[in-house]
Amino acid sequence: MGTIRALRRISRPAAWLTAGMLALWLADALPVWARQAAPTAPSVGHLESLEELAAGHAFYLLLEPSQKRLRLMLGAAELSRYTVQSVSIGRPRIAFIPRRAGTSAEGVFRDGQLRPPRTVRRMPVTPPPADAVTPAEPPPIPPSPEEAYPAPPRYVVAFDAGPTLDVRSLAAEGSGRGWRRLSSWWSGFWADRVGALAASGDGSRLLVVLGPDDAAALYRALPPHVSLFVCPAERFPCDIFTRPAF
Amino acid sequence: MTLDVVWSWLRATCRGLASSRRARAGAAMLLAASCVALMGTGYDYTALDDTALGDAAADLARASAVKPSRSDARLRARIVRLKPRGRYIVVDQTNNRLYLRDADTILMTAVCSSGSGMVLKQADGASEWVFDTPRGRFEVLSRIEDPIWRKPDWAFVEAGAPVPTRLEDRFERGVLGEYALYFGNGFMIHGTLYERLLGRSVTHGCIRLGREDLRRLWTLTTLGTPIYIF
Repeated sequence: MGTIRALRRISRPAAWLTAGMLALWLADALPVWARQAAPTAPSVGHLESLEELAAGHAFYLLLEPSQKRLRLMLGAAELSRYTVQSVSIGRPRIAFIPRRAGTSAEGVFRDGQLRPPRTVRRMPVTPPPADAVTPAEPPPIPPSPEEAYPAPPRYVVAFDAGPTLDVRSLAAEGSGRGWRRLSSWWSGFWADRVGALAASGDGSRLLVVLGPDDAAALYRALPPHVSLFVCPAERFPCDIFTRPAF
Repeated sequence: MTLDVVWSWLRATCRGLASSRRARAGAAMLLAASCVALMGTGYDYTALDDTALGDAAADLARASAVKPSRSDARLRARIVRLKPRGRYIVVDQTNNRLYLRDADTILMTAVCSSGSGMVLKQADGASEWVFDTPRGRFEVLSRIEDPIWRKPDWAFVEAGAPVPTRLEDRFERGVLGEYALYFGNGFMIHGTLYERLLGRSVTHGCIRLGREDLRRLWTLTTLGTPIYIF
């Protein structure tokens, strides 16, 4: 009986809840549009950050949205280049209410961790006994990189602060058909919702769509604790790395 | 016990819903509100490229890239000076690929083999070796033609043979291919007798290349050529 009474009381608060959410959404939506339209101010700070990375000994990703390019770098040397199909920034919203963004999507973000993590295969090798009469069996042929580290169609690189890099393979973005497409949409739907609810750092997400081969190669190759530098779109300071050195 | 409580609560709720119209309406409304809230949860995506900023912003960007301020120019020059000059070797150890690059140009791509990541333990547990290829920046410290392998302890332990006490018992000719590029701490880029295993992580930490690729790399690199392994 107590349960029935409780449920009877629900209908009115549910109506108030819905009205409240609508009001909050209307109040918050306008500043979000204004924020998205304003271009980010250029700054020498970007170049200083880039110089710090170029002089360091750590791996970092260089994302150039304007050039549709993602590069893996060590110091000032380009190690690998991935062609980006599209880059977008996602701001989380919960029940239509946008979360306030803490930082800009430009600059340096550190200590990136791959999710799902790529676990290194550590197989123990047992040496044959010294007095073995029969020769040891030849070791089995190890798997290829594709077999050893199958890349998921979408994965994220989470940094200790700032946005999360959400890498999706073009195949996961709807180039498949039928059941595969539906299943990728379904997993994407829930991943977005769970991601928005559990967003850490400033909660925003940089969505990068790569070709299937590039996405898989990056997943397999990404070193641990990688940093991310997002080049300001309107200044192109990262083209320094593509000019010949004098 | 907890499951029993949950089950009895669920049964009571269902009975209540079946008997009361208002309760049913309330539950339906709550469910609908949750679904709407769920639909409104996620991310609002905005493209990050020139088109998002508009043509005027893109023009401004190009202009600012051409005419940097004085401090900009100084910083840019400093970054350019940090770039590797000339050719450099890049090894993608997970995908087992070796590249020879010169600025933006890839001069050579080769299938290689890198560290297996396996762990070898001595039977008595006295020593342990992890067969990883190191990550980071290195450079060619020495170039060796017709290299002779000085077998380390693990080579004997792995084969179940006693570790020799005499140095001359450690040398083996012909297993490292025609050339070796030594980059420190016992690691080399060298040839292999097992070309069918190229493309797989099978080595004890060195980088193995096929005969033709090794010949080409030998001619295109010099002492001091930087090696980047990731």
